[in-house]
Amino acid sequence: MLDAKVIDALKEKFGEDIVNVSESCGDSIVNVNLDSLHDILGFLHSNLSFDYLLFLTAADYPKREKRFDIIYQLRSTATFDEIRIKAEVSDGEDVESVSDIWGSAIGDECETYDMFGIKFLNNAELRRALMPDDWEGYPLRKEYPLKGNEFSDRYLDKYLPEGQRHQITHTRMP
Amino acid sequence: MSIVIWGIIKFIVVLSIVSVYVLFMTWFDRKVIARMQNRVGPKLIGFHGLWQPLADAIKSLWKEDTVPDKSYKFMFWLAPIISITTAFAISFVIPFAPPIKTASGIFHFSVAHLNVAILFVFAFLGLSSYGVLYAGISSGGSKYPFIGAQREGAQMISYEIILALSILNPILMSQSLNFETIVAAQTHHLWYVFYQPVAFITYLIAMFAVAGKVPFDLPEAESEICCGYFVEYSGMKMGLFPFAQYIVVLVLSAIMVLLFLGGWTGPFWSGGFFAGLIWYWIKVAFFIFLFTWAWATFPRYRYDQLMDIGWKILLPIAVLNIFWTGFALTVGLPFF
Amino acid sequence: MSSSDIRTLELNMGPQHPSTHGVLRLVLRLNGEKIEHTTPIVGYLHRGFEKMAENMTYQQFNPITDRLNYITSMNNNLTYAMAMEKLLGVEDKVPERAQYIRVIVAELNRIGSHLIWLGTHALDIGAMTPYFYCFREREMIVDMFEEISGARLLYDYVRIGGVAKDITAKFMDMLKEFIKIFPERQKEYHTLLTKNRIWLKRTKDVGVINAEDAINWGISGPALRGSGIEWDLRKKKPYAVYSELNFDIPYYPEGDVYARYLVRMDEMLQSIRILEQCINKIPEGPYMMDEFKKVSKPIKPPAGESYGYAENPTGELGFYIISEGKNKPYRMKIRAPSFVHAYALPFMIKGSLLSDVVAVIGSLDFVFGESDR
Repeated sequence: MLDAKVIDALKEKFGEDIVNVSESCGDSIVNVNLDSLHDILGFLHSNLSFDYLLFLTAADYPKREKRFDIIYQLRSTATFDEIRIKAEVSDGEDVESVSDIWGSAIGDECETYDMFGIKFLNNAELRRALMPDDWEGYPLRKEYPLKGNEFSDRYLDKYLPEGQRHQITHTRMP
Repeated sequence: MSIVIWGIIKFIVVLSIVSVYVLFMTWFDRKVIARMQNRVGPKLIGFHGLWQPLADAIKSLWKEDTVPDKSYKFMFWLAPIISITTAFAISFVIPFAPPIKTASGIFHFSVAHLNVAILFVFAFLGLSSYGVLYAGISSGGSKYPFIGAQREGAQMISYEIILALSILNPILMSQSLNFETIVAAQTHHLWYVFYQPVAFITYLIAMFAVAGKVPFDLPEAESEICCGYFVEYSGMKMGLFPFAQYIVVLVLSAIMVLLFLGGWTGPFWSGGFFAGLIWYWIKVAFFIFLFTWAWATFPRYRYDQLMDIGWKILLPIAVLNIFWTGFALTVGLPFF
Repeated sequence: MSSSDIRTLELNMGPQHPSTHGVLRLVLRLNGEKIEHTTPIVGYLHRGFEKMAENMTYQQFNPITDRLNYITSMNNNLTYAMAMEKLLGVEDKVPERAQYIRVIVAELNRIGSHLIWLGTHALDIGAMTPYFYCFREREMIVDMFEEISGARLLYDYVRIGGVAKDITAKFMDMLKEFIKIFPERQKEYHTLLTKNRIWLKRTKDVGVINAEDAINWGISGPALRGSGIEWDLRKKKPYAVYSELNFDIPYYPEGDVYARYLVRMDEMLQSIRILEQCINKIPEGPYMMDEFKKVSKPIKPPAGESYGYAENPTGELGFYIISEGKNKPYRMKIRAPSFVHAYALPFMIKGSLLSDVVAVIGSLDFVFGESDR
């Protein structure tokens, strides 16, 4: 459970940029505006001693107007507090990189770019982290198919003899 | 005429003895290291896996022999040949047993009985590194061999100096470059290891580096540069590099025994040809075992640390030791 | 030769390289043998676990977590189970016996993982022998796991709400024997390496990262403790029954490869201490919550999100799960320590020599099943 002082300090400093404060399963979640995201994270790092970036990721909500949530999980090594910062990002919108605040953000931003196609400004080493450099599509978007495209060059199963080919199906439900 | 015939016979005999030695040396290495590591080692083929090296040799002969497209073909072929030829050449001046007196003179158990045998050894040890250098450079811009060859070049230059400087002491004391004369000189005194403990130790360290064995196996550090200079080789061509290395190990151990440990002389059972033969090979086998033992025990030095040891520690010590020997011989200290 | 004539060498290290521990690829720019710039490239083992999770039920994903860091399957299972229990709000209802069993298997697996790390790390630096000694002890651990779970590598033993089966009397006997033997055996590794001059020369002052940078680069686990930070989630944020157990956090301030080596060596003995206490303290009772016993019965956590984490042998593994009240997660993010460490590697090896790269890689204990997911 997060100290209320942190939320108060955030609200005092950033006022309306703090959209919502909630809690789920004992984790504190703070929804903020994208415009002041970098400032808020910098403030948390330098003034409130949240010096450890656990992870940075995104979640895809295709039905929303701004379809992505970008999520930062921070921890303070001094007080052991944890806080989760969320901001909404629409498709094609760029996010300012936090690699100048946390070195470990470089890898996570590469991965988020790779999986969701969210571009990060000022990240010098932004590239595909896990997929090949020339991969098309962003795998963790909800519309991305679970199995390969039969007509793609990359779909190697099509070179198999007729009998051995797998039927393309989606994962079964129990 | 009989000299020529004897020479050819000796040549063939030594060539086959050394080849068989290398084959069973691989078995010995694997078996000893396995025992040190709680394993059994080769077991299935023959008595305790004794025919394993033959099976390995047959297998490597049947391997596909690949030559990279971009390599300099001529040098690529030449490299293992240089390695193996120079290694064999060194082994031809090493006496394999004490000389025996016959009716027609003294019979030497070495292919070429030279008065400048040590000089010959060093000339060819220097040349043998060319095999490695060629292998590294000719591999068509492949980078691991290149780095391996770089390391080999630097290592050989640094450590052959130390090897030569430490050998200089016994040479100064015996006034000869002939192995048999040096051994004979040691029968009059104690073994030279007692006069020259410092030279003995510098030779011991430099021996590992020149042979390129653990802890100084930097040219082929398999966990850093994936076997270094012979990455691009395959089949029997690749096999020739370790082959040459094993011969160098034998030769360096033999020189060690001849120069510092009195060759075929022994403390209590001496005289006679067989006593000499057994003493000599017990000592040589100990040093060969030492190489294997170190292999199973030590981690590997880093490149710059190797250079530091060579140039900053061993070289000054070796040079000072020569001054001391020269001083002792000129003044005529009692034990010299 | 003017400075403009000096050219750097681009060396591609990996993904097939004996000491990149699987499929790490580093593009190194070398000046002589000095490293000027490094680009780490991961993803050669990418299997899309996060996408798979979105299409699988919660129980179906349990065996997949085994495949993350395949050497520490038990710890992965435990972390996932804890994240799920946090999401379901049943953290306190897990039977105490199950919690003790979880601690036992997690600590055993920690020792097993550290043994593999020690063997491969020594092998990277050129010492061949410790590898075989380490596998001798790991074999005992694997035998124990086979006794309780039936598998030797991927156990799928710790489940949501408890563990899959109860431990047996034979397991306890094996465990007691292991605890008796192991400290003696560990002294053998110390004699082989700890005071070996070459080992010291190769590991001291190599790959140094100070405390501040280590936190900035997100380094966790033994590597963080090797930088002088007394940070262990088992102590600082106790989970399972670690709060009832007595153990120390080994940490060393130097921040080099040797400090990380010592941390892991000490940690093995601390794990033995924990195991000894667990044997005495383990209570009788159920080993699984009744409501989760049937795997076929779908779990539907309430809408919400949780981040569950645990101290794994490699570092902090975490599962961030978003639920929308269905039987499948809406989004699952796995925080893999190896992935974070891989991106911290360029910082740690800058300016060092090529031979140091393998030493540093070894000291961070990469497993790329975890990093690439």
